[in-house]
Amino acid sequence: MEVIDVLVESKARGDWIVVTVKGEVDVYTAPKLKDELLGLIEEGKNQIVVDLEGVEFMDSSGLGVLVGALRRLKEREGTLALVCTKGPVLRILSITGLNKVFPVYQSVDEAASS
Amino acid sequence: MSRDAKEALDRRELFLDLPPDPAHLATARIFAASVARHWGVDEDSVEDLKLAVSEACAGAISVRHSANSDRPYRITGRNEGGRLAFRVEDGGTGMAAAFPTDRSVLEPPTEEITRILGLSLMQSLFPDAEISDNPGGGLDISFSLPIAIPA
Repeated sequence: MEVIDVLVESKARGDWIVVTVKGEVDVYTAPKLKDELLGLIEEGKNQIVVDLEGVEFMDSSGLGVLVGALRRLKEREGTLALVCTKGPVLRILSITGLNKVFPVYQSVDEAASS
Repeated sequence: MSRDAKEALDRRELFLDLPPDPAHLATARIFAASVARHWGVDEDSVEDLKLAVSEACAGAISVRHSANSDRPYRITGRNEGGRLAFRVEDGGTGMAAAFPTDRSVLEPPTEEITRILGLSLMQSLFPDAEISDNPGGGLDISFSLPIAIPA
């Protein structure tokens, strides 16, 4: 049996909180990302960058979590940026047009210095 | 690969029954990708297929949960000669409720966003994607993609 999981870690980087996600994000694993992002927002963090470079697969459940978090942050005049340069995740962002909704950066360094 | 497995892959149609548990979604993706690669589908299309299958199976699981049912759903890959057709069969209460198409809601909850996106994604990736009546009851999701090795 294939075991799927997602690793979600957060750390401060200047004014930003960097959330690093690795693995596969689907209906089964998306709640882990959702809990992390909502937890940070409830703590008052309002500048979050989600590093998706280590994500091998993401479906609409993952996008729903990101869009939901973005909406909550915008209500607080905050920002949710993404780091994504390649692969299936960049493709799904492009297909849905969400690459125009989220600020998408080439690296965490680029996002943190924006 | 064992002889039995090779013989199974030489058939024109392969299917997998899965319990309506999101923990098995990765298995559905691996199954679909393996079937597609066997019949010569290119890697970019395999990635698209994994996404569409994940969306369709998540819909089937959602329906099963709504009906409080643990009956398996079925994913089938069929070589139709030049095209590889995939189908996810709910076989029960139907999947329409899992994919609402009403885009007029301005502030849908996250779950609603996900479902609308799921259907849109399938249709963007595979223009022939459709949700249709199943003669055996319930609804099916089906779509197809070109393959390199004709039947």
